[in-house]
Amino acid sequence: MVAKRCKHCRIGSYLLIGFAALLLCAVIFSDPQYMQNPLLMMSATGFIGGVFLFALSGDESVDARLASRLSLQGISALGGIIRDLGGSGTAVFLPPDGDGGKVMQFIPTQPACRPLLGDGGGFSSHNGNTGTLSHPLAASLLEDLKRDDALVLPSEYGPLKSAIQEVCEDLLLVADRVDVRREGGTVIVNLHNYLLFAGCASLREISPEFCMLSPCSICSLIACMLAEGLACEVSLDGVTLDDKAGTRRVEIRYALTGAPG
Amino acid sequence: MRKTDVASITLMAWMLSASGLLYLFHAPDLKLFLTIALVGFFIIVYVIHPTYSKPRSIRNVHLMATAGAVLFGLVIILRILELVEYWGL
Repeated sequence: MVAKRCKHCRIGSYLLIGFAALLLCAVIFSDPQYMQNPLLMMSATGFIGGVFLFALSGDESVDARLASRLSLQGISALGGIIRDLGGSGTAVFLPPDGDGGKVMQFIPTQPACRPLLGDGGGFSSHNGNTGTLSHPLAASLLEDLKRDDALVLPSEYGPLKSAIQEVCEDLLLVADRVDVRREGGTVIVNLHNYLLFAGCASLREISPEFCMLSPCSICSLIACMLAEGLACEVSLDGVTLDDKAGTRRVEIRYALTGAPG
Repeated sequence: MRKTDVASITLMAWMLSASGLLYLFHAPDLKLFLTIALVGFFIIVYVIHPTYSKPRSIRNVHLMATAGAVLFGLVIILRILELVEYWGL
């Protein structure tokens, strides 16, 4: 879908610039007083509009369906492995530990599995729970956005909300409109006309539990942004998909622990 | 509808309205039209400009805005020169 949109923008911009060039030639060759000719203004309109459309059309992008599938590659397998290793409950996104630190993802394990873990070997402890500590799936994407697109994460909720909207609407173009609201210790993000809806729906068909154990793509990215921006622990509280009348709306709820008011 | 789509449509509507009005008022002057069109363009760029990031599309628009600013300055200088000539300074 995005690929088609990009293609249409490019074709539109070429048509407008071509139309402007044709009008310019027609005016110059037919009217000696061409600076006062109204067609010259039409030509300038076409040229400016065409260049603007070309500038906004961006790079070549992949088809939405393909992007949706690619973003979920290996997620179900990973979720299965985590579950088999004793993963249970909800993954917790931990804020960076000091300057230069990165957001980490803690996945708690079932108490029954703890004796099998021996003396810790690769497992960590957090708030009295034992589990695995790893980099979240969207950690590399967040680093790329910071490096390539000069993304800045504010430390207050209001500006951070705008940053989340910018990332989803302008940078990644995964949703037409993003609403973010806070209700006490919960942040609710609504993605309208979510581009990767098909993949998200297919993953939830396999097992909704995987979303909680190891959040993927956008859920993970927004959680990382919240954890790093607000310097608090973030966990995915629930994901609701709504495709009534083709709206492709996704509601993601995050629980914040220790966030500033 | 995305923000960029709205921006493109608004800019085209603004420029078509401006050219139509200039034609109706019998003042189809290219320099005046460019000034009006570029003012609209700068306002639209200001409105759609993200605060916390710099997407590639916006970087392209920045280049266009730089070219637009040069053109805008040129038109203003030409207009000042015309006025100076008119007043015979």
